[in-house]
Amino acid sequence: MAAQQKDRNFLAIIGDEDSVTGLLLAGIGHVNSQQKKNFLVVDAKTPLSKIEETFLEFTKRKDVAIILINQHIADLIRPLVDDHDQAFPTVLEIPSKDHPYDPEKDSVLRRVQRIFGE
Amino acid sequence: MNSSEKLAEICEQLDTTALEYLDLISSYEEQWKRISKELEKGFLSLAHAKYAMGPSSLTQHQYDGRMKADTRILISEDQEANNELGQNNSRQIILINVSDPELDVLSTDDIVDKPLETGGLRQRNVRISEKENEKLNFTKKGFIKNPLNWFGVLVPSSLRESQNSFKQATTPRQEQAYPNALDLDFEKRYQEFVASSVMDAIEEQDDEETDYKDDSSEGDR
Repeated sequence: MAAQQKDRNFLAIIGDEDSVTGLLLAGIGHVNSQQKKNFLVVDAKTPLSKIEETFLEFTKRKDVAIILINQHIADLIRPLVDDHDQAFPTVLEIPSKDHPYDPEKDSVLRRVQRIFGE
Repeated sequence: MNSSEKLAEICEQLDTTALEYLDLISSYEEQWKRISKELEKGFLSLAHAKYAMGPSSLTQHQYDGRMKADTRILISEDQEANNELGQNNSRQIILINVSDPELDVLSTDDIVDKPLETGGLRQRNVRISEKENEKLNFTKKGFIKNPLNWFGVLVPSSLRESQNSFKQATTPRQEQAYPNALDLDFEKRYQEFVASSVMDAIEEQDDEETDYKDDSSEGDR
């Protein structure tokens, strides 16, 4: 168990161009030897299936510890985000330039509400 | 210990666990306030940099296809907490910067090996001295380029500010390990504890009721 978590070194990001650019500037971007990226830029032309596919790929990858996803994109694949119940990789919803953070939509806080029966 | 005492103890334990959980959630919310502020600053500086450099110069097409992560995650098991709780679920998530020369966390897969420069001629059986080896390791670590350079050599200061803000947003404060609040293990533990405690309490009550019934039936006889 501990060895598995030790290999999880990367943050992955699914977001709009500005969010991805900003976070790549912070140094989280990585392209591995199989040319697999740990980020996805979502724009108006990106099909929903591509977002779903990438999210599932990130959740299955053994080297990803945290998945950062723009909240408005997480809304598009809400059932998938809500179904993810593993501690690692952790899914974190972040605000984007055009969509401020809304705590009511946050999957973590919604889970808390469910636990306390609200 | 009679059942009412046991029930009181279970209730106390439940309260402590719930409080611990709520503490985590409140620290999560505090973290989000801070992260949102930093991200806002970052987006503003990025927009300014876009305005200064032109809209087509700060796009995904400028990303380096060979990029290596400079900021990584280190998940460490919290031994002390584990010993105290007798569980293996307490973890601490730390963000690290692999450019830091004190850290040696790059795996060999991540490093693109550069051939040794041998003055144009390929030499066989060349033994690399320890000093040279150290120098090579240093250059290997230095291979991680600053992402700012993807967008040019002389970038506007607003882009640097944006980089700093995004770094601040991803870096945890020391007193609060950043995504620790999200530890789903804790949630699972809490839910399991609630379920088991309730089951225990129900079983205890059932046992007591049956004992009481047995006693009363014996009394009737």
